[in-house]
Amino acid sequence: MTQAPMNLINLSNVAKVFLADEIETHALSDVHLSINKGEYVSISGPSGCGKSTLLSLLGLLDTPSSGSYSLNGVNAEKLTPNERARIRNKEIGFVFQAFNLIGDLSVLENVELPLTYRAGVAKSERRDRAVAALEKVGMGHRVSHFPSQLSGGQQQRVAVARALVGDPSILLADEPTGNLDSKNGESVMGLLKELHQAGATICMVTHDPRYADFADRIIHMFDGRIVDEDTLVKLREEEDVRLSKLRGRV
Amino acid sequence: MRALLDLFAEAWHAIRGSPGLSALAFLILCLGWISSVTGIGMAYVFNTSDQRALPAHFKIIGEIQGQANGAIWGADAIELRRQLPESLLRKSILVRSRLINVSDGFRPAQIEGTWMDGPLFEELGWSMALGRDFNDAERKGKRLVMIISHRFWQSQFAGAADVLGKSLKIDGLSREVIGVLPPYRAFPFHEQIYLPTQMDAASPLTKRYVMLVLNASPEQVPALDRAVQAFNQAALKKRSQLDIASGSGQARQVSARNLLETGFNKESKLVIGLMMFLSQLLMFVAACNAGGLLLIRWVLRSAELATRASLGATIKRLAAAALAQALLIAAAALAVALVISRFVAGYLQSFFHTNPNGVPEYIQFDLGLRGIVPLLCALLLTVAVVAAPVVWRLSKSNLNTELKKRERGMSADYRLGKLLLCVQCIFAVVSVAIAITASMGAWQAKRFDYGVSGAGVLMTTVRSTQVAVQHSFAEQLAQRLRLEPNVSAVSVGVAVPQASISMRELLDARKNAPTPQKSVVFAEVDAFFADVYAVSLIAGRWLNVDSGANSGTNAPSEVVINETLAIERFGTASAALGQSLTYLEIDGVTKANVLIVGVSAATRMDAELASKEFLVFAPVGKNSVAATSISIKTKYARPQTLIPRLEQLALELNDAIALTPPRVYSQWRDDSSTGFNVVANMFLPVGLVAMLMTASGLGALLSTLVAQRMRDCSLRRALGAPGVQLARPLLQSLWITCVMGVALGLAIAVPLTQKLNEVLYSNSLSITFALGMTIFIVFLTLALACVRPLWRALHADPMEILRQI
Repeated sequence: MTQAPMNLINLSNVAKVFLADEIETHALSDVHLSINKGEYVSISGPSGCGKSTLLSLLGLLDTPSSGSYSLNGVNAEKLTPNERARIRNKEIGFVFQAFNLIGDLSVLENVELPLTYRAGVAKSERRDRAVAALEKVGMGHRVSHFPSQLSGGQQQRVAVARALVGDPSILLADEPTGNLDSKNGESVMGLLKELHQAGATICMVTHDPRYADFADRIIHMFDGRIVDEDTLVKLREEEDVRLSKLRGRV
Repeated sequence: MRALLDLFAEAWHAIRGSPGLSALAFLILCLGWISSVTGIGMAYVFNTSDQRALPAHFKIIGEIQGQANGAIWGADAIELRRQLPESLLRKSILVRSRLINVSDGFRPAQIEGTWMDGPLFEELGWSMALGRDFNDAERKGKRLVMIISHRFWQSQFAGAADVLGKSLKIDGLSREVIGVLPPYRAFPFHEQIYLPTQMDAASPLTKRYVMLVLNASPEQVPALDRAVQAFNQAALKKRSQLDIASGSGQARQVSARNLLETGFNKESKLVIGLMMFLSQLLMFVAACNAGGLLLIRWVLRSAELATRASLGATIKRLAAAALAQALLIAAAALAVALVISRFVAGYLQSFFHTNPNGVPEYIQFDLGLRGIVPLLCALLLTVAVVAAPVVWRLSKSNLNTELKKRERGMSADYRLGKLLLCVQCIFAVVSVAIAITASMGAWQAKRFDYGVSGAGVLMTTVRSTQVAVQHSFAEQLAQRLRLEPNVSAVSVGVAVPQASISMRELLDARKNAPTPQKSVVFAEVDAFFADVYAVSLIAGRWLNVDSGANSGTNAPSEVVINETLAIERFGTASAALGQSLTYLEIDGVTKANVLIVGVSAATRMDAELASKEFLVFAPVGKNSVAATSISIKTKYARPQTLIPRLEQLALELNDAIALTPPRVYSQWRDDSSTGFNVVANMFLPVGLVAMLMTASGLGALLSTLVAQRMRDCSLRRALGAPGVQLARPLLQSLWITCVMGVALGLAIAVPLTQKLNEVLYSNSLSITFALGMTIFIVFLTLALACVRPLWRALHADPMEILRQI
C-alpha cells in the first residue's frame, strides 16, 4: 500500500526565460517551492515580478526553461501536451482574473465543461456534479443564465464552481479579485476560505496584501525570485533609495 | 458514442456562437458543392448515353455523334469489310442511323432509326423485352418487319402488351413490329426504330457515311487494329494520287475505336474539361475559403480556446471539435447543394438536343450508389481542407499567452489568410477570364453579320430511303407552295441552310497559289435560293434552272462562290468569273469541275464563328441521297402562320412522308448559336461564384484585421490621423497579395482563354479585351469588398474604444 505524498507540488531550481527578438527576459530564476496538501498559499509581489508565470508553470500551462517540477508525485517535465491536458483536467482547477467563462454556454454548461473532457462521465452525472458545485458557491439558482446576465462577482463564483467540479487536487487562482469591486472581491475571498476550510488546497496569486493575508502561507516574489519577508523589505528599501536619488537628480 | 455526441454538441454550440461566419461558410460551401456536383453530373451526363459501354473487343468504325473525324464513307466501309481477314472477326455489321418517316395513318413523323445488315442485337448479347430478333428471311427483305425501342413502345403504343404484330408505315412501306428492346438499350445512341436491310454498293444507305461494327476475338484486337491501319495507309496513298494536298486527306482517316471512347469531339472535350477543372477548383477554393472563415472565428475566440485547453481539453479534442464543426457545415451544405444541383443540371440539360418525341437525348442526372461513395470521399476531403487551418492554428497556439490577452496579434493566422486570399484571387481571375471569353463568344454569335437576309423564311426538310420519291415529293410540294397567295418564293436544296455538313475538298489547279484552306462548304441550292434568302451578288449572275451538270449538255455545272473564296483564289471577285474549280465529290474519290458564273457577298448560313468561310453555291445533284430542304419566303410577318397550310399540303401529297417541324430561319440561326450560349451559361455562374468567394475572403480577412486593430485605429484617430493614414496600413499588404494573385491568375488564364478562343471561336475574339475586363472586374469587386470593413474602421468612435482599454 502506497501512501500519498504530503508534498503536492514540488519545484526545484526552476527558471523561466522568455526569448523575444533575441533578447532574453528572465521571468523566474532559482525558484524552489513546495506546497502541501490542504495548504492555502498566496503568491504576492509587485507587477512583473513573475507571479503569473509561476502560476502558469504550476498549472502546466507552460514549461520551465530549467529545473524540475513534480505534481502529486508525477514528474511534469517529460509529459506530452496531451498528458499535461489530462492532468490539468483531473488535478488542477483554474480561477482566472478575467473569469474566462464561455459566453455562449449557460452557467451550467460552463461548469460542466471540465467533465465533458473526462472520459466515462455520464451526462446525468455531469449535471449533478455541476449543480452541486454551483450550489457550493451559492449559484445554484442561476444554472440556466448566461455569463453576460451575471455580475462580475457572480461570474467569478461560477468560475470557482467550474474549477471545483472536477474535484481537483489543487485550485490555482490568478488574481481572482482583480476584476471585482471590493465587496465582490471580499465575497470571493470568503468563498475560497470556506473551500480551504473544507479541505481544498489553494494557490492564489495576488498583488493585494489584504487578500494575501487570507492564506496560511504567503510567498513573496521580487524580480523573478522567491524571497522571504525580511529580504523583501530590504530589497524594497534599496529600491526606494534608488528612486529617491533619481528624483533628486531630476 | 457519448463522446461523439458531446463533440457534435460542442460543434453545434460553436456554429450557433458565430451565426454570421457559420452562415457565410455554409453559403460558400453550398456554392462550391453545387458547382462541383453539377460539374461532375454534367460530365457524367455528357459522357453517358442510353448506350451501355461495349466490351473492348467491339470496335466501331465510322461516324460517331456527327463527328467528321473517323467518319467512313459507305463504299469505303464495304471495301474495308471485304479486305479484313475473316480469321480476325467473329462478325461485321454495317449500320446506318438516320431519320426515317414513320406514319401511323394519321400524321407522319421523322424518328431516328437504325438500319443494320446483320445480327447486331445477337452480337451485342441483347435479348428482347418483348418478341424476338430478326431472322434470316427478314434480313433478306422477304418480310417487312421492325424492332422498336422500349421508349418508342411507351410513347407510340403506350406500353401496350399486344404491340407485337402491329404495323406502322416506314418510309411509305408497312412494317410489322416483331420485337421490343429492353429499357435503356439503343444503338448507337438513342435510336427508336431498328430495321434489317442488305447493304451493298448500290444501296442508297451506303451513299453516305455509315458505321461498321466489328466484333473481334479479344486476342485478335491488335491484329484488327493493324489491318485497319493498313487500309488507312492504302486509302491515303490512293487519295494522294488525286492531288489532294497533304494534311487534308487525314480528315477521312478511319480508326477502330470503342463507341464511348469517342463520345466527345475536341470542342466538347475542352469545354467539359475546363468546366470540370473550374468546378472542382471552385469547390477547393470554397473549402479553403470556409476554412479561412472558421479560422477567423477561432482566432477571434482564442481566449475561449485557451480556456477550454486550461480545463483539460487536449489539442486532439479541440481539433476533433473543429473537424466536427467543419463536418456539420459541409454536410449541411452538401445536402442543400444536392437538391439545388438537380435543378441546375436539369436546366443545363434543357439546352441540349431533345428527341422528336420529347425525351431528352441524355440520361437524367441521378445520384446512385456509384455517386454516393465519391461524394462521401469528397465530403471528407472537404472537411479536412476546411478544418486544416484551425488544426494548424491549434498546433501553434500558446495557451499562456492567449489566456492573458483576449486580443492577440494574428500574424501567423494573417499570413495563412493572405495565402488563401492569393489562391482565391488566382481562381477568380481564371474563372472570370473564361466566363468573359465565353460571354463574348455568345454575344458575337448574336451580332454576327451573315450576309443573307432570312426575314420571313420558313424551312423544313424531307427524306426517304426512296430517293426518287423524296425528290419528287419536294418538287411537287414546292410547286404547290408557289401557288399560295402568301408565298413569294420557294427554294429546294440539299440540307440548306445546314450546308456546313456538306464539305468538299478543292483540288489546287494553280500549283503556286497560296492555299492554306482546302475545305469549302458546298451549299447545294437551286435557282430560287437567292430570292428566298436575298443573297446579294457582287459580280456575274445567280444560278439558273440550267446550271446543273445533268442538264443535257457536257458543260460543267455552274456555281456561284462567295467573295471570301473569290479573293483567296483569284485576287478579286471579277477575276473569278469564268474560272473553273476542281474538287473532290463528297465520296472523297470522284473529281468534278465547275464553272464560276457569279460571286456573292461574304455569306454564311449558321452561327459558326469562323471569320473566313469559303462557300460555293452549287446546283442540286439530281441523284443526291441527302435530305432535301425546302425554304419558303412568305409574306407573313410571322412565317409560322404558314405552317398549318404547309403541313396540310404535305399530307395531301403523300401521307407517308414527314416534314421535319417547320422552323423560322432567323430563329434557327439564333438557335445555332445555342452552343455558345450554353458555354457562356455554364461558365458565367462559376465566374460569379468565384468573385463572390474572393470578395468574401478579402472582406472577412479585412474585417478580422480591423477587429484586431480597432484600438490601434481609435488611438490613431484620437491622435488626429486622417482616414488615408488609417486605411493604408490595413490595405497595403492585402492589396499586394491581391495583385500577386491576379498576376498569377493571369499567367494561367492567358493560355486557357487562348485555347478556348482557338477551339470554339476560331480566334475571332479579342483576348486582350477579355483579360482587361477581367482585371477591371476583379479589382472593382475587391475594392467593393473593402468598403464595409474600412467604413467601420474609419468610423470608430475613439472615445468609446479607448475607454474600454
